[in-house]
Amino acid sequence: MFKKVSESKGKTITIYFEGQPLEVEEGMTVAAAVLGPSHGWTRTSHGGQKRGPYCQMGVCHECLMTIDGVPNQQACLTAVVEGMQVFRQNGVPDFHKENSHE
Amino acid sequence: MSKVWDVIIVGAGPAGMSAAIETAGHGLSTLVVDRQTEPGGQIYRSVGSSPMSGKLGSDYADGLPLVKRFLQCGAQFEAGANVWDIAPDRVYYSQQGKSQFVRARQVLLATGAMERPVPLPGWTLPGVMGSGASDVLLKSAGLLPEGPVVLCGNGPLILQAAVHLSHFKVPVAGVLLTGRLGNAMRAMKHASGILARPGYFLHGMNMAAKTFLGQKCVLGAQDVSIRESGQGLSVSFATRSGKRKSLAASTVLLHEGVVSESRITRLARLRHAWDQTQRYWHVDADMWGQTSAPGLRTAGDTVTVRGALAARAEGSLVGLDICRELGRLPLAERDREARPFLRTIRRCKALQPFLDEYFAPTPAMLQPHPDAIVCRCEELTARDLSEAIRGGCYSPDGLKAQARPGMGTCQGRVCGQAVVEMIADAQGMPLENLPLYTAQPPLFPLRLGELIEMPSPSDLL
Ligand code: FES
Repeated sequence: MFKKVSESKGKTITIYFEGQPLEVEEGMTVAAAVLGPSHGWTRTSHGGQKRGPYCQMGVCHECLMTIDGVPNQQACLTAVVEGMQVFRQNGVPDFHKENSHE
Repeated sequence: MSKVWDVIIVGAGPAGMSAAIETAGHGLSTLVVDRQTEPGGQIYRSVGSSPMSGKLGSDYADGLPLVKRFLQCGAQFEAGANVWDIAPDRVYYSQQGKSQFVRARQVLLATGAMERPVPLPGWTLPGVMGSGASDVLLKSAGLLPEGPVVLCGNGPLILQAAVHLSHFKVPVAGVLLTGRLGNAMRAMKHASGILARPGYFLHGMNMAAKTFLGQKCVLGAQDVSIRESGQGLSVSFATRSGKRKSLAASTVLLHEGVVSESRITRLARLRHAWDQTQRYWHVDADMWGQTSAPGLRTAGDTVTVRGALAARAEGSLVGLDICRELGRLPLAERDREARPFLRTIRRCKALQPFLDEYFAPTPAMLQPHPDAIVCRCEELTARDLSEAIRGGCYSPDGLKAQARPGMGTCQGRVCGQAVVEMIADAQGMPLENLPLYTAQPPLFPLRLGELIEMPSPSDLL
């Protein structure tokens, strides 16, 4: 639903969205990088509605995703990094689940 | 004991960068933190690295020299640093999952503005986003919606979005303009302000003309709702004569003006003021950015939404006055250096009443349809909230306790404004008696572990 109008000079790296490899440009935010493959939805609300990034600037928290095992990350404020694992997040944000980083 | 900075600036947009250039330039140790990955704020978003630089006109390109000067001015810049608490001499922030606090003699809050969230049925559907959000995707990643796009709202930025879309040949199914037709008449009493910035005004007229000539525009659209239909979205609206129509779209961009992002200034318990024409709460400060708390300053759209040019000048002024306060600039020097910035601000201020009236939000738009989800996090509709309000709620905090709007992860940033409008309307209360939700630290959800691991502020005990 979004297309590229201009190729950037940045180098391309690979991240994984829902386990699928994705070629993206360095310097992009996760929210921008997964816009296409996610069909605009990156989490579900606690009532099960599909939601996606609304503001792209850190205000609305609709872009919460699980990034490299850490839940509740604002995808619009996170830059892509080589090998990053990005997953949709479903239901109520769970702040009790300790993340699995390191 | 940890280092004490002379100045900490929160926000690396036009105001924050301009202030840092002054303070660092006059030899003050300056730390600038911003939650984005690059300096620029929203208006100059990613201008240093953008695939679109040079393709979006001078409004955007003007940011590049500023960003370059900022990065060379000697201030320390921390990107991806999200501030979650603040006091007159200290700032707490989280960066890459680790929190710390930093101390300063002066703190400047230049966190800018956000698009006014105006709930309508279906605005939570994938494919619907702020028109500013789409602009961010264009600037930072060179991404544009494939179309057909429906633009809906009121404000200069909706015209700019329409111009960008047509420039890049994105099919636009329609531009629904929700401003009141009487606004133009009301604005005329401030028409003399146009003379202060004729170039800016003509630029605006040019965008309006391009929009009206190039797109299918509906003036005075109302009662807008969005639903899923087949593979895409369907936007339904009423025309001025009351006829219902609908448009098919793959992307819907909403915009109802820009308002100060006041959570951080409310958290600091600073005095605020209500803007009656543009209808938003903003921190109260004088021209040197002095707020009701000594040592805590503010500048740019955080104080009054006047756009990048004014924000740059305001940031510079505040930077100069910080230099005076910390003994780097005698008063007379400060005044001399301030002169060009004051002239710019005077010009911006002269035109602003015209723009504010012309793009004043339409009261009916601000009263959400019963089916509209007002609190996106807690999935509460206007109907849910109206019930609680009728049951006897007279403040956003009261409603929050009763019905839970504002309890989700965005902590009321999105629903706060709408809740104020709903309570004012239902209870017949003046808006200036209805402050937004009380802001509490942390300003966004943090892992408890992150708080525990934070280096202890032992020198405070
Ligand atoms: S899209 Fe709104 S916070 Fe990320």
